[in-house]
Amino acid sequence: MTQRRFRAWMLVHKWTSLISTLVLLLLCVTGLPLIFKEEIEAVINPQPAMPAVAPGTPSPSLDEIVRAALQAHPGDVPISIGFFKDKPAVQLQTAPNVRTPFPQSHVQAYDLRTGSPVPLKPQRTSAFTEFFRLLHTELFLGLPGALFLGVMALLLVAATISGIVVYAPYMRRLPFGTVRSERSKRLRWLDLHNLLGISTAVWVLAVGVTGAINSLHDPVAASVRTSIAEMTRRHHAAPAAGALVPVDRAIAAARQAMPSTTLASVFFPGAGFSTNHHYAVFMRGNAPLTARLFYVALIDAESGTLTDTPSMPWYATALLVSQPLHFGDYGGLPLKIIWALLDLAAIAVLITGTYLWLARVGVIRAVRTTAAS
Amino acid sequence: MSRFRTDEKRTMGEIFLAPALVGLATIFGLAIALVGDGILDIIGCLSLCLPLAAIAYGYLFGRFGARSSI
Repeated sequence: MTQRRFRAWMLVHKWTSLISTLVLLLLCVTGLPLIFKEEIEAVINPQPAMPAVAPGTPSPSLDEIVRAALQAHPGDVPISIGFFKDKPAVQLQTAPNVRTPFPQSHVQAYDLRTGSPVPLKPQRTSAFTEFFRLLHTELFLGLPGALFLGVMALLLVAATISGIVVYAPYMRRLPFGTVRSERSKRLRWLDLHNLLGISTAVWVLAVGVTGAINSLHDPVAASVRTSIAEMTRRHHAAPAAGALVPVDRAIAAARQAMPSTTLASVFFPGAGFSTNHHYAVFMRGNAPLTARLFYVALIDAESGTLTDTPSMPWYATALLVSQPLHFGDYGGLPLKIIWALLDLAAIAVLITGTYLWLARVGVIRAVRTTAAS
Repeated sequence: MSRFRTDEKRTMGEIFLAPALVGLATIFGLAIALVGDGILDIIGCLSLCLPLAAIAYGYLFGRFGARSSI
């Protein structure tokens, strides 16, 4: 590499890092508790344990559970069924009519194994986690904040790539992993910066690129909602369903159409994302890669046959597939711990980089001189 | 050749061999845990430990008082 080219890359590395360091430091620090979001939620907002069930107890059908919910609130109609991710339970929503606002509707969790009501709370985020999430994703500034953080994530990507390029000239005469601790303090910090930076570069690139993609979450989510609404609008001309087929039959039809999926929720005809003539069955992928992807099946509520399985827009798929690579929540607690350690290493890269710049421009020496005098 | 020899310039291949291996292990770890659970998660976690092991190696054993290259 020529001296001129090296200087150009150094300039890119210096300025992309300097502009973004403070924000990235904030993102790394606020990202730490978010890595352990589920564990923190389990402590702050614990769910009661599911009761033990004797072996051989016959499980009721979903229709029997729906009937039990309607008996508890005479005059109500079923709105939706939400399936808990990690418990054999559903959250059933009923209301006087399908247009009743959510706060006025009746929501109760039921044990799928016995059909009995269980005191599970709706899956909501605590104020503690929500504070860190909003700070991490939008700086409490809504979409402008999210887009600003997306630009910072792109600067992180540029800083990492330029850092890899300028790593080579520094290491021409040094083996990998060298930390010159017996020379000047600046050299030791430089070596630590290089070692930490090059070792975590690929992980930082993965988190940076997926972070930039995730900064578009809100506009993409709005677009997906619009697409689903447009998709169902195509079927709104169908007459309102008369006698409904059992919800279990609608779910069976959806499962047959999308075999490698898990149930997420079901909307009854006329409610939420469904139409007057269809059940809307939402499924999510089984593998960690597809666990955040949603698949929708519109099931004819009179015949129980599949009407449509619209696919999500490609950009929504890209965003949802990228999310596990940003959150690190797809390999259990061990992966989360490794993610946190890599996050700490990234914090160390930022701190050592800032120290090197401050030392270079003489701030460290000036502070020492002032302190000594 | 001493591990800490500093009087010979290393080629780009030599400089980037270890970082490339660490990077490939990171990509492998990130990807393998994404496609499945159980044993794949364990393999993914072990692969992702390599960058941390490289840092620990450098911090614990990579210290010496060599001549600066810059």
